[in-house]
Amino acid sequence: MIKKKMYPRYFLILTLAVYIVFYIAPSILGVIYSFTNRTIYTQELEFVGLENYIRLLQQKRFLTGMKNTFSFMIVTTILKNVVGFGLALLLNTKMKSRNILRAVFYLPVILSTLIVGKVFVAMLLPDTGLVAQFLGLFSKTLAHYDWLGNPDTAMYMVMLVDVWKGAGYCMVIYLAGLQVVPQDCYESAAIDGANAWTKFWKITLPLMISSVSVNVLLCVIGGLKVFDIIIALTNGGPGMSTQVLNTTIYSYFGSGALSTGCAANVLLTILVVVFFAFINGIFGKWEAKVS
Amino acid sequence: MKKRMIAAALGMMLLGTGCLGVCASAEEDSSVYSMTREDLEGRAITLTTAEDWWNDAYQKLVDDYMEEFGVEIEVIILPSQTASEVIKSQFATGELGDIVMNSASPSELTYMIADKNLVDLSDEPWVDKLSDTSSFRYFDDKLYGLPIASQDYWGFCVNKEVFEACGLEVPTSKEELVAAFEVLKENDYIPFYSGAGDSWMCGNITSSGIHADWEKDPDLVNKFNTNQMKYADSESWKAMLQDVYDWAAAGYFGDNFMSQSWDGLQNAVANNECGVSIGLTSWFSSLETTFGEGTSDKLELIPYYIGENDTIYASTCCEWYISSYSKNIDVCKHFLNWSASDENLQAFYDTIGSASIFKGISSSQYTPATQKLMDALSDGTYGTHVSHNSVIQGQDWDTFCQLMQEVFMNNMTPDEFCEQYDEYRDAICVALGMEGF
Amino acid sequence: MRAQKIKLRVMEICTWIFSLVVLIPLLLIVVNAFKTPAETAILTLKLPQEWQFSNFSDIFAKTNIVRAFLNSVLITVASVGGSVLLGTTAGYVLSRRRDSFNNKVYAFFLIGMIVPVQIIALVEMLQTIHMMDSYIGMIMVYIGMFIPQTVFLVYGFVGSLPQEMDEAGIMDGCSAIRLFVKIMLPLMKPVVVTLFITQFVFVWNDFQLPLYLIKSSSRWTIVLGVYNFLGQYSSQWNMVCAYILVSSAPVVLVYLMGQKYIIDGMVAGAVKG
Repeated sequence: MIKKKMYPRYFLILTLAVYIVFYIAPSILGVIYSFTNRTIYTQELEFVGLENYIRLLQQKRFLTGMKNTFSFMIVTTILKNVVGFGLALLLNTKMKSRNILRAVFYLPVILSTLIVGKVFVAMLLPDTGLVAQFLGLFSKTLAHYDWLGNPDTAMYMVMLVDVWKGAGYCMVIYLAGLQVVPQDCYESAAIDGANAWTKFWKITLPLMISSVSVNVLLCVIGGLKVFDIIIALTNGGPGMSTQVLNTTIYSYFGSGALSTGCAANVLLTILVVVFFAFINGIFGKWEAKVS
Repeated sequence: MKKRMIAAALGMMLLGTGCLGVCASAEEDSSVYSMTREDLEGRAITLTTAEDWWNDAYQKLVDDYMEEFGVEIEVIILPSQTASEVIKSQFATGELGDIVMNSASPSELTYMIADKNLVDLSDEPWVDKLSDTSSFRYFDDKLYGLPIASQDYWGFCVNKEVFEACGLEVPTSKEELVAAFEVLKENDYIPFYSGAGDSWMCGNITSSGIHADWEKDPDLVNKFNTNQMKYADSESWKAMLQDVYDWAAAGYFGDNFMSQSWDGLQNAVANNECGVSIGLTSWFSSLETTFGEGTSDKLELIPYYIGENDTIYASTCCEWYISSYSKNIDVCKHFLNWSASDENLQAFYDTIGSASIFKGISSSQYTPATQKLMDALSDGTYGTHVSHNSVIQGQDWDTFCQLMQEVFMNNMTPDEFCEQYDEYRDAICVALGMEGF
Repeated sequence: MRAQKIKLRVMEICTWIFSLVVLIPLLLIVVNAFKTPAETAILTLKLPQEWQFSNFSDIFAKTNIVRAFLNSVLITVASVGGSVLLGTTAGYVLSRRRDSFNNKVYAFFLIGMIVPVQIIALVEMLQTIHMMDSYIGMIMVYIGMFIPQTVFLVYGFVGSLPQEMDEAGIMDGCSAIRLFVKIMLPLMKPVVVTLFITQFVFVWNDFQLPLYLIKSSSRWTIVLGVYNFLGQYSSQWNMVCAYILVSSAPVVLVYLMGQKYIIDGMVAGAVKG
């Protein structure tokens, strides 16, 4: 009874209303479109079943996007987590300037992707960019190299810039995780004569699993949905070398094939859910084993 | 409670799919054109355009009109990277500015759903001034836009100074052009500055691809649009692709061609770094503005000697359209009519220094190089072609250009290109509900 | 102990060296914002020969940055404020009263974390309720988008707060609203600040939604201004850098003000929840 009175349902009404009208309804409408022949040319809807989906899965374009998305996701997830974890361990020590350093490493997270992209494009220009100026100290050919214009390296550059921008976020979550690791564990380990490396593997990592799982999930989802940084840096080029799922979806919408775009969007969402469940499962098992 | 919420959600969704706003009724009244400052003062209209299309000449028209009639015109310039996507979504949802500036190519008129979204301008007073309206009319034979834009001609741009330094003549055929490439390469010039780093430049070079086949078969475009033919089936198309592929492999585009860009093109041409490039008529004027008068004297436009083609590329221009949802159709019509007065048109085309579609209006500011090409076109030395993508429907230009970039990089053979793009275009055509797909 | 201290120092220096990776690109923007156009033809880290503060006054004179700035402030503050208000009330009730209906509602909110946003459908929705091309429509869309995330984090955080707090309030005869506002809300400070900062940063930097949902450029936000500005002045890096500095200053400021809460908020929300 008291719960009913103190935690009234009317607290939920406005939230639900806004959420449904401005978020869920348009999203569901989008899902409905994916089963129709809706284009930007026509207003009439005709149900076409799974046709859009089947067609998509047969397309090389979509598969290229998928392949690139996966490699982007895997590489950035690993790098962001390694760098973020390393930084968190460093900045969890009693360094004097640790608060300033934490702020410094977090700065890229809060800058607009658009701006980051623009600055890195300028920095990576062959011959005149800052990177080329630096490399020019060692070798003329290196300075002449076009990092973003070359299909062999463009994707790696995009990944690196994404890590540059996103590692700080992982760092903060790891720092948060480190706050709840009890110090007495280390003390008893120190008495047992464990070195830093064993301490990390035997104590820190197991206690940090929930942070690792949150970070990996965020990075994987972010990696699958990557869009802004690609548009800002390469716009999918050169050629098809940095096309990912979201840029493909974007061009379906751009060419007027609304329902195909919606279907691709739904497929991406299904992919996200599958990965989410998969990773959650792995970490859940691991967590259970540790505790 | 739960039921009510679900009902509300459903209701909202149904509303979402419902019809769009009711069209504002157009005022069919000839007194529109005689409106004065008194009638117009204090009115406000919006004009949506894209960064790539807008320039000082347009801005001057807008500024002068605001000055003269006290009308507030808000110009909304969409960023180039997303402009086409945003404009398409605006046409899809009817959320248009009062005046919309957009491409005039027939293949793009389809998505504008002109008969629903736009005001019919067939009977406007300025229509008679147009020398030829056939290529601007929608399939219902009505005219929906004012083609106030430069009629540009594109060609391969020969740098005569560089050619002379290598002892070369201006090529008059593809064979001569390719021979010249070889000599230029030996002399350490970039034979052909293609600007391939900007993917749209990779698309531009293909404009003539179907032209030779189209000449042979007048029904070609119709076949494309009814799925009786694909890009892979056009011989002249594949010849063009093969040339791109081979020229890239032979190093004719220079060794670092993926870092060439449209912006870099001006510098490369002005500093005599390349023998040939892509160029267009109105571009000469801007070249002279940047590098000083006389810069373009050393340049000459020749046809797109690639594949089986020997014609100059006549690009489609932009038009100003009036949204049928506008509450200010009278002001918009007045503004368009005012802009199309002889005096304003002349000033406009003088500023941009290019040819026009209006009778008797041509720029007094042609550079010598432009003049030379205009003469060659009017005496029939060169013919013209329109780009395949403006007549063949179901295009995704961004994808097209990126695939072309793959051909430039020799990552994709002409056959692979055709296979992938035909497949992609097919999906679009199906999604668009085109007949035969 | 001494060896420990030296080791710490060395580590600190190494970290600072590593931080150059982050700092150099940022310094590049700052330094070049004060140069002449000729000096920025090639972007270098050299200090300007003469500090051009006029770049900034030029920006204010040549663009309607003030208007765009105010638009950004309005949209950002209202969206984030709304999402925090609506998200905390819902997350709090759902977390405290976990009956079967509420659990279903919670699951329904979580669905929102994965469903894709579809622009055309969104525009059609806003058209039906006459909220296209308006601040309010824009703001409501952001709020709707943030609600799942906010509810999720608040739900986890409130779960970690002891029930005794509530009971003490109930004993004192608080009403439901009073209990929430006077007792619970202050306790939620870390998670609220974290949400405020992350969502503030998102809305401030977002350039996709305003482009589609707001037709009139007089209502555009400052980041869209960057977009247009980059197009117009792309060869004048001094102006571009100055514009970037001005437009990024508020997010950096908001972050610095709330920095000390962020980690607490993350501990509470993401890690435990």
